[in-house]
Amino acid sequence: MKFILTILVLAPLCMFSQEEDLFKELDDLTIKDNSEVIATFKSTRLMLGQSTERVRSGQLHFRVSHVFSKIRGISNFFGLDNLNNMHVSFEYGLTDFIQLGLARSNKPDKTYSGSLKLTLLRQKTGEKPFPFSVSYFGGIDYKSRNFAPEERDRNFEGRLDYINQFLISRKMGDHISLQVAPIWVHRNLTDVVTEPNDIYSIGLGGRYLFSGSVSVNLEYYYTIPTFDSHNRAKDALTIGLDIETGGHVFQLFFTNAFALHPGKFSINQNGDFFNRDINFGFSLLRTFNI
Amino acid sequence: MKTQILIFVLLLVSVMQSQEKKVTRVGEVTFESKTSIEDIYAKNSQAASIFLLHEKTVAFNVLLRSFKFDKALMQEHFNEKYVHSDKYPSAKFKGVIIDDIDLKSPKKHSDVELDGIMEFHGVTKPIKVTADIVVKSDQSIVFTSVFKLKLEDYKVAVPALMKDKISPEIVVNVRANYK
Repeated sequence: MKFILTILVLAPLCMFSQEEDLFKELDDLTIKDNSEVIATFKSTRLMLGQSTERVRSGQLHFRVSHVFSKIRGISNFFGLDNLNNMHVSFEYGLTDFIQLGLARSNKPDKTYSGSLKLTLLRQKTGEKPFPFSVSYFGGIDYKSRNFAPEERDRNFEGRLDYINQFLISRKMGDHISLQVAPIWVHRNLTDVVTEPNDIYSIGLGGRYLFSGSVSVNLEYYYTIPTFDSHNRAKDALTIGLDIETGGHVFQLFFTNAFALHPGKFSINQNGDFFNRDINFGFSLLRTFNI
Repeated sequence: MKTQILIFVLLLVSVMQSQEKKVTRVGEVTFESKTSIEDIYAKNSQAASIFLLHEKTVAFNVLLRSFKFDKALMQEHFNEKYVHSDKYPSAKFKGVIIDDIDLKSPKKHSDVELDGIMEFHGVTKPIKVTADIVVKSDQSIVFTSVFKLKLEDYKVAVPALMKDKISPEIVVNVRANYK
């Protein structure tokens, strides 16, 4: 009997203590949104190469990138005297998972590029965690410059390169994000007969976020030595900064590459970074809502 | 017999309690920041709320990640750079109605005062808000409130470059329909 009395006395008390747990009860009631990891990188390019960041549905990214000439010293104003490459690109988010791109680069082949980026998997936390993000990037490059001899110039298929790349990234906490990006470039026709048509590289890179708006990024494209003319010093190495100001992202970088499209900078044809074949470049990204 | 009484009493208590508590999972919370340069607007339609009629207590839980902006980039910056939703995933409010109002019979109560606390961005502060509370004939309740939050009070830092684009005081609109 005492036991029952005790329960009867305690039961209303339990009700009161439930009120104390109001927030806990609310937590259980709250509809959990997807727990996708956001802002792994500041933009859709890590530096020269693509990142797993995407252009969202209905958004348009307009980007202008420049690479200046090799830094010699004050004699060529540290490379700024000559604008070596002018790269313009539009990237549009058809959905949150499909990004279409068009780009044009003047050096070295007056190349037009069409591209497609598919968001396959996203890094997630929470109840159903997933450790990394995976995207696919595919592109076709059309070299529009004049070729000699005339026969080569008439060869339409010989102007085409194909790019296939997987991008795998992981955000390791607030500051550090890493990416591994194997890429396969197939060229229908090479410049020299000894060069292979297919070149495989692995893009390795990451960023360190200093503050909310500035990160330092490093990117290296390791070309797998499957051909004789391969030279390790000619792998693309880029180091630079992402600076974000609201709707713009500025990227400033030093690189041994002179090309800004993956079909060219990732195929082991760059300058020797450690022999001072270093160029300064930047890109300016503006986001539009359409 | 004793057990039966006990069960009866416990059931009664729980039934009483369920009648006294109204909930919603789809409350709406919006906020606006207006400056001469830019208007920012975001909406969250997944605010969870509990209304304890007997205690005259209203509590809200809002996941910051569930706020939708027109611009995807703005939504990302909001979460990543301003409210740090990875670290502080939700904003919480709990308030008690000070005014002596009857929540049982159908009536519209305007400018009801609530005394409560707001937990947002790792800061917990006392807050007073006014609300309109409509008790309908089917015993459902509509709760609406408009109040202002100072970003500074909750340690939400705005970079110098964005000072002109983000108002230091944002207007929050809350609407919950309790069944």
